[in-house]
Amino acid sequence: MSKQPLDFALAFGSAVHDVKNSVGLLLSTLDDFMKANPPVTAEDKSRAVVLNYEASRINNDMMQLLSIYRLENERLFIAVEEVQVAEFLEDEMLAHDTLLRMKGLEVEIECDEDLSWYFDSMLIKNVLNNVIVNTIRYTKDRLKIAVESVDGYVRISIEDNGRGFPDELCQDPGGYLTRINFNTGSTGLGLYFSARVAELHRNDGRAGYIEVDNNSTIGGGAFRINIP
Amino acid sequence: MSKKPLSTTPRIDYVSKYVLVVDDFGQHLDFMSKALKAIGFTKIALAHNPKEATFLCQETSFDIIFCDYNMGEGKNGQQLLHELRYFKTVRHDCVFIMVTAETSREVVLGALENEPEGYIAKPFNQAVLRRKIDRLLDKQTCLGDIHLAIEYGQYNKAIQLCVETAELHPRHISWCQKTSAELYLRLGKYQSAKHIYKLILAKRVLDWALLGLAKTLIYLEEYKHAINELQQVLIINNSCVPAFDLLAQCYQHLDDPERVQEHLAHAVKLSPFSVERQNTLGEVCETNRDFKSACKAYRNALKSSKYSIKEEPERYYKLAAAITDSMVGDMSRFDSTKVMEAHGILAEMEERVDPGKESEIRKDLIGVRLFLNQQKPRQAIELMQDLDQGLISNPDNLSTATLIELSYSLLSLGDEVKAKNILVYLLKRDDLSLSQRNHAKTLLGNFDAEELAGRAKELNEDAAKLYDVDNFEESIRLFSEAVRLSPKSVVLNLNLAQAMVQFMETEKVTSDYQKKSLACLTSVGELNETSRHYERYSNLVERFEALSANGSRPN
Repeated sequence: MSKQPLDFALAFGSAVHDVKNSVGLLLSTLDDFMKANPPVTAEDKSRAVVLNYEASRINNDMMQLLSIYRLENERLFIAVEEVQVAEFLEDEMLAHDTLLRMKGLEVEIECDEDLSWYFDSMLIKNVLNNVIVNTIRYTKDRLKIAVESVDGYVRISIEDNGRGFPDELCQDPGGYLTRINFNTGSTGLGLYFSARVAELHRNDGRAGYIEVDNNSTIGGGAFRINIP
Repeated sequence: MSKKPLSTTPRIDYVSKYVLVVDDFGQHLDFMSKALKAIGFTKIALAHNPKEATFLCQETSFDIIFCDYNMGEGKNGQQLLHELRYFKTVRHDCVFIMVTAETSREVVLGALENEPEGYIAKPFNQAVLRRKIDRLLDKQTCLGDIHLAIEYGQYNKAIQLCVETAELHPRHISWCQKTSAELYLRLGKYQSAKHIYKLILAKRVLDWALLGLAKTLIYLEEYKHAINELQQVLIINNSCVPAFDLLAQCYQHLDDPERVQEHLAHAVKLSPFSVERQNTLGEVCETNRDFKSACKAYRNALKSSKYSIKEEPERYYKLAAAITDSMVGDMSRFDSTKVMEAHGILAEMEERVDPGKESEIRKDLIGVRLFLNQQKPRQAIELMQDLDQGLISNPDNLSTATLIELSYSLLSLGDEVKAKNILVYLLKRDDLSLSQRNHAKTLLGNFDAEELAGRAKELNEDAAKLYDVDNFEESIRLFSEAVRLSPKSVVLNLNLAQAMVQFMETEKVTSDYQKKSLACLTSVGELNETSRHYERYSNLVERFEALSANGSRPN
């Protein structure tokens, strides 16, 4: 029997597929469980949050890893389509509904109802997912998503009222190898991924980019993605 | 401006809608069942694979279908969607939602028919699910009249409705433009379609508009321009399968089968499960005489067809024929394996599908070439003679596929006159696919413009019979006679050379035969790789050279 070399991409894709099914099951079972046994004590509530949060992170991390692998091997296709931005953001927040409610966060979306733009909704969704999950963890009690047209780009900003981002992150949000901090578990991989995805979006000779700063209108940090 | 409340759309009637969920992961089916019931649906069907799903669709007209993109080996949601739409197993306004588990959309853009209405990524919760459904059902309602008009073939009306809807509902402008353009193409109004695509491209370079423009240019027979647009698509997205498909089409029209093969090969690498694509690839590989790749393509076509509801005998015939044609004819171990394989494929076909009207004919046509490639020309000729009764005089009753096989078998036997007549007749038919047409033209073009005259043909047949019973010397005598009568015939020269080489391999090398076989092979000359005699010729040359190299002393 001949030994064929492992098609890593295929194996990876299958593993991700599996993980997603498992995580999906995990999250929905958790939801059911909590409906049947609503947490009463503060401790239980916080445990429920941890369960939900960590499961979501596993999911995000796997997806990012796969995307980055594909990016590096030039197998990542970008499928640009016209997206109703307000709808898109509402759906996105809906996905984090449970977590938001559990932490009691106040959410605002500022976006022109009629705005539609062109981007790969799945990829941008992944980017935002990652940022939002992190923001939920680090914000005090508010989260705001603001959309504006700036110089031919559409800028989506995710702002919090937490402690804000460290300076070095603001300097070069997309570089990651310099920043692996095993204490906080931050690899910077998420931002690297976001920067690459933004870059893949091109129009009329211009490419997308990300920004990270502490000029949040609600007093904390802000992540911004600009799509041409 | 803060978040708008959710229910700005009128109440949706979930109770009356029929929903189908297709997923190979049982737990997910459970989750969906519960979630959909909680939303308010009552008519929910579940399927674990595309075959089950198709059967269910044949019985029930679903309003919404959720389908997992990746369902394990051999099948994906894109394929199912394509088949359901192509065979009209679902209504035009059925909402198809592709469920993906990956980071970016693997499903690539295609014609209207091949795109789902929406996508949803796992894992998702009930709230997200409901939102998605609500939005898509709302959209279908807005576009309901248009869908109905299209269903009834009232394309002009549909286009008019598109214009009106675009004004009433600006959020659907893109869809309306896209749909109008596609409908113009169906109506043959190519300039109108072109106009729409160019308008869109002037504002933003979008791949679907480029693809649409390319398609339009193909209809307008401006193939080189179409190729330019398609190259542009590939710059934006180097894995756009429809772009490769369309490029292949352009090159079919430009009669460049090697480019066709190149692009189709690229397309199947990205999207291997389409039966049609693999089949077309197989056909063009045969035109290019790349039988190894043809076998691979037909194998894949057969494999994919097993997951579809339309398993056809044609897939088996094509594969068996390609395996046969890939034989070298040197009686090696590899060749015998191929003989067994070809027989095995035909046997498997008998078990799995209804072999069809012309099954005996098709099997025998393959049989003829199998005999030839096993150095059994007498049996091949006899088999053909049996078939001949009435077959060739009545080509009207035979299918195009059978006729192509017939002409190929005739050519392999050296019966060029009959083959030519069949091919000429065939090219007059209008049901040939582009690749079949090009293949037939190529076969016709390969003609060494001579015919086997009556007596030479008789001698050839008699000699073949003698050869078959190992009476080499007699067969050599008759073949020589035939060659004298028809000295330019490639087939006769090869037959004579073969008989002599065979004699020298089994009995003894003589300088007379060496000289004469050399003469035959030289007279055939440098055959082009695309000639149907090429394999046989190069094989004989090898065997001839081996004889001299073995140092067998000539007498």
